[in-house]
Amino acid sequence: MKSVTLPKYQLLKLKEWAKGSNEEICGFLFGYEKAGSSSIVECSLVKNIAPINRGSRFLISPEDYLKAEEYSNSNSLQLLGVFHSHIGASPNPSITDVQNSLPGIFYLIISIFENSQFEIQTWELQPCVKLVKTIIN
Amino acid sequence: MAKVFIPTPLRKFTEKQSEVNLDGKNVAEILEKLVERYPELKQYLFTVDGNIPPFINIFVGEQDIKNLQMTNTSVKEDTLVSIIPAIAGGSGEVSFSKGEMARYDRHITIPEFGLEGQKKLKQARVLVVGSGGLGSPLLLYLAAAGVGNIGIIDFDRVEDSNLHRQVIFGEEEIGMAKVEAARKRLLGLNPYINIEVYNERFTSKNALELVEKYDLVADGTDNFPTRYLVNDACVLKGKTNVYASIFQFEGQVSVFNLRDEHGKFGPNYRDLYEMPPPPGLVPNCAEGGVLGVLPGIIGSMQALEVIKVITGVGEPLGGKLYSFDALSFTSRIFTFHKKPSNPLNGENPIQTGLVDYEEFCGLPKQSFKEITPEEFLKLEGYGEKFQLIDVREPHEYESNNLSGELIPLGSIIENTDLIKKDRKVVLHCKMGGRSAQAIHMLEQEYGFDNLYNLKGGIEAVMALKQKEQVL
Repeated sequence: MKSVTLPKYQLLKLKEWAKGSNEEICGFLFGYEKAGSSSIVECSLVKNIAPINRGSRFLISPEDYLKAEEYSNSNSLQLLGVFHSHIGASPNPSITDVQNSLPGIFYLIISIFENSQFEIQTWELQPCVKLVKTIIN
Repeated sequence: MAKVFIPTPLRKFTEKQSEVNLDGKNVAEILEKLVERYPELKQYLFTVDGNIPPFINIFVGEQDIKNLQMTNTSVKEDTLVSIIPAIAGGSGEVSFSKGEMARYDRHITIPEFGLEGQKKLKQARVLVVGSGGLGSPLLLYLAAAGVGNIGIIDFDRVEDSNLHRQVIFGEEEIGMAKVEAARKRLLGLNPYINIEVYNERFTSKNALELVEKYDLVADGTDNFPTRYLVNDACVLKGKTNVYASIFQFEGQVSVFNLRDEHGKFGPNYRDLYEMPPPPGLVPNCAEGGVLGVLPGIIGSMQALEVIKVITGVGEPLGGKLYSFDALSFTSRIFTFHKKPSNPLNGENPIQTGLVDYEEFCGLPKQSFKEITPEEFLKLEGYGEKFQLIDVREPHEYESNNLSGELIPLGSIIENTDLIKKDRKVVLHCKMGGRSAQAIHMLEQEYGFDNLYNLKGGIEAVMALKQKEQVL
C-alpha cells in the first residue's frame, strides 16, 4: 500500500478550515515524492465554486488550478493532490468523487461530524479507487 | 510553435513532460497533434463524439476558449494553450448543520415528512417566474421551508402600488429591482439556501435554457403570453409547472405536466385552455385590480403544491384545477384530462419549439404606418405633399429611382435633420425591408411619428407602373 505523510500542523490547518465552514472546503496538497512514498509539505485552501449544494459538492476554478500548478513549479514542489471535506459523511470516496477524479494525483478527504470528530482518508484512481495510507507525524 | 501545458494528473501519459511544443493554427489542430503524439491522452481530452469533455477546460493564454471561439480559437507562435482538469467531487450526501436541524425541526417531526422530506427540499431547484403578488408568499414560504436552490426571474422594480399585496417587499425597497429586494429578504429569512436571480424578462429567448437548470417551475405571472410561455417551456423540457393565477376575487391553482410513478406526464395548461382568450377580455392585476390578501392565500397554496411535488408527500393537483371564490368563500376542484389536440404533446403535436407569445395571445405587434404602391401613385398626382426618402445605396439610386432624396440606411442617423417633421414622410428601399428598419430606428430613437413605409419598395411601384402602361 502506498503511503502519504501529512505533518500534524498541516492536519490542524485542515481541521480548522473544515470546522469554520458550513460548505465543503477544498484545496491543493503540495510536497514531494520519493520511492513510492509521498510527503505533504503544504496545504492551500481555495474557493469552492460549485454552483449549488456546496455543503455536499465542491468545484475548483480553472484559475485556481493554474495558480496551484504555477505555485508548485516556482517553489520546486510537486502538486501531489487535492483535499476536500465531507460534512457528516464518511471520508470514503463518494460516487460523485469517483466520477470526477483523475489518475495521477491523491485525493484526501477530511470528514467532519457534528461532535467535531474528524476522520481522514486518502485515495487515488489507479485505474480504480486504491486507498493510500495516511501517516500523521 | 505553440506551447501546450500538461497538468500534473495527465503527465503520466506525456512521459512526465509538463510542456509540449506543437504546430497548429488553432486549438483543434493542436489537440489533435497532441493525442497523435500521446494516444493515451485521448480518453481524457475527447468524448466518443470527439468533443471536449465537460471536466476539461482549455485556456488560451489567460482566457477560457468557451469565451473565445471554442476549438476554432486561433493559436500563434508563442501562444500558451493550457489543459486544465476540473477538480470536483463531494460527498453528494445531503447533510444538515446543527443550525439547519434546529431550523427545520417542526418539519422533520412530521412522521410523513421527516428528514427525508427535508433532504429533498434542500436538494431541490425551483425557478419562480415573477416575484409579485403570488411570488411574494410563494418565495417566502419556499425559502422558509428550506428549498435549497431558488431561482427568481423578474424584470420589474418595486412600486408603491405593489406593497398592498407583494409582502416580500417593504417601503425602503421602492425603486429597487424586485429580484434584488427579494433575494435580500429571503436570505435574511433563511441563510441556509442559495438564491439565484435573473433581472430580466422571461422570454422565448431565455426560457428553455433557464427552465433546463431547474427541477420545477412555479409560475406567478399575471399575463397570458408569459403563462403560455412558461407552460410550453416546461412541457418541452419535461419539467413540472406549479401554476396559480388571481383575478379580482378569484384564484386558481393547478399542477401541470406532473410526472406519475411510471414517468408519464400529466395534462398541462394547453389541455385546459388550448388557446388564449381574446386580448383585453381578461385584464391583469394592473388593469382589473386585485384584493391584496388574495394572492397571499393563493400564492401560499402554490407554495404548498411545490413542496408536495418535491417531497412526494400527499397528492398534488395534477389534472385538477382548484378554484377559490373569496366573496362566497367557496372552493371547487375541476378535473381535466390530456387533450388529443394539444399542440405540444397531443396526438399530432405541431409545435416543437417556443413561438412568439405576444402574437399568439393577439397582442398588437409593434407596427408602423404603411402606404401601398397604389396609394403612393395616387398621391404623386394631386395628393397631399410629402417628403420621399430613398434609403438604398447610391449605385442603386443611379440605376433607377422615384426622385426621392437619397439618404442610405447606414447614414440615416447622422442625417435626421434632413427628415421633415411638418409633413408626412414616405421612406422606401428596393422591397421595403431596409426602409422598415429605418422607420423602426427613427421612431424608437428619435420619436418620429410621421413616417410611412412604402410597401414592396420601388420594385412594387415599378411593377405597378408597368402594369398600368400595359392596360
